[in-house]
Amino acid sequence: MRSALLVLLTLLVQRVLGFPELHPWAAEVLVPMVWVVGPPLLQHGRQRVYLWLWIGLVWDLLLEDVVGPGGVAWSAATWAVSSVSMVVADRTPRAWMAMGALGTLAFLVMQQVTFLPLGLETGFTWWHLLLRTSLTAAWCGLVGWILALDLPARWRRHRARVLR
Amino acid sequence: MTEAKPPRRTLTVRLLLTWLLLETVAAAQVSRPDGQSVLWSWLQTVARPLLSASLWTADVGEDLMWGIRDHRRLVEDVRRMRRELELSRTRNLLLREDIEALREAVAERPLAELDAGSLTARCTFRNLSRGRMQVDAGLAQGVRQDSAALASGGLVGRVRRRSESHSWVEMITHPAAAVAVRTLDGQVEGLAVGSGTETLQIQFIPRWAPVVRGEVLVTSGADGIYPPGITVARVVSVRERDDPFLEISAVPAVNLSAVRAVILLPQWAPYAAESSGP
Repeated sequence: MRSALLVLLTLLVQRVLGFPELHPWAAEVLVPMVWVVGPPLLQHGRQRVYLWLWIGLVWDLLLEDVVGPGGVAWSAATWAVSSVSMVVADRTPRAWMAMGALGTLAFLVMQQVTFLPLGLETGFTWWHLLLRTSLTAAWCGLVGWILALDLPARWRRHRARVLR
Repeated sequence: MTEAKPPRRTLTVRLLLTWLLLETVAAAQVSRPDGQSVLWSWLQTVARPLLSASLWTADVGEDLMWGIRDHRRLVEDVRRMRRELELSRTRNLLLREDIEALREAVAERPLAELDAGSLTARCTFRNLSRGRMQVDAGLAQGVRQDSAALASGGLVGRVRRRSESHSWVEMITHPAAAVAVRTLDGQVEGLAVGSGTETLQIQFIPRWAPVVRGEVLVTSGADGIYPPGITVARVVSVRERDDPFLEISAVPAVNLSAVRAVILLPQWAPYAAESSGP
């Protein structure tokens, strides 16, 4: 339940990032990608591809004009990340960045593939692909770096020193 | 309690199927510039060849069925026409025989004065052992009681019973039949009586009469039934007995077994009782 609320909150944040008052590049970050990259890298059990089908549908409801391609794209991203993470032992922030980039690529490719037979204009450009992949990878790397900092442990150590 | 993990291949297949479903759902929401749903256009693209193939198959099947039905109908028609052809041939043969018989009968009309009022009738039934014959002329055609019946060669008999469309002729071979006869020269007269067989018994011929085998006998008209001069029989045997009369046997001049048509002489019945019904 908490995970669902967090994912929903992330989607709302993604919606807010698309506000016209913000920078145009802000909406290029796929904020929910951290929930795709995080579980397999943190050894939190197997990825739930089907769960991301539903999350993708909610994504479509909030951010797209057609419901369906988001489910395909997000589940494809989840499937790709979980498959690669099983054969990669690296769990550093660099791995977070790489997995974020991989998930974003899978997401964008599958989204274009699903849009193609529908005849929808997506305005796809390589620059757009590069920008979105880079920003999302950076976002995932940032989350991974923060997690690697282990702030609660640092805080506990800091408190122990102060109390001593 | 951990959930059993599905095989990766199964997961992939399920995922692909789910993606296909989602793509279909998305296609249902998107419209083409002409207002047609993308999903509908997909379905048309997929269904059109199938529909065309189905229609073609249906057309071919229908044509085939019609062809088979027409073939059966043609076969039945050919069979029916063959039967009708055979029937027509048979009728043609019968008619040809009738025409020949009628020609013969007409050619054998003995007396020109009898032509007026004579009837031509076709034999529809005969019983030689009983000496009876049915012809297809009756009251409607003006047949009278005791009208003489002639055929190719001579006398056949006389009408004994009539109905509206048919008449029964009593042949001269009937045991009750009797015809007044004479020789061609008219010197000898007698009575030809039926015997129920193929021969006639000529009675009341005196012993002195010069009747020989092969003599032709004709009607004398003395009985008031048959007009005179019609060929009746030909003598086949003459025997003398103790009686004052000769015992003479004769065969009818007409081959009664081959009669197919007769000429009735209703005008020649001077003593016939017209009031007596059929």
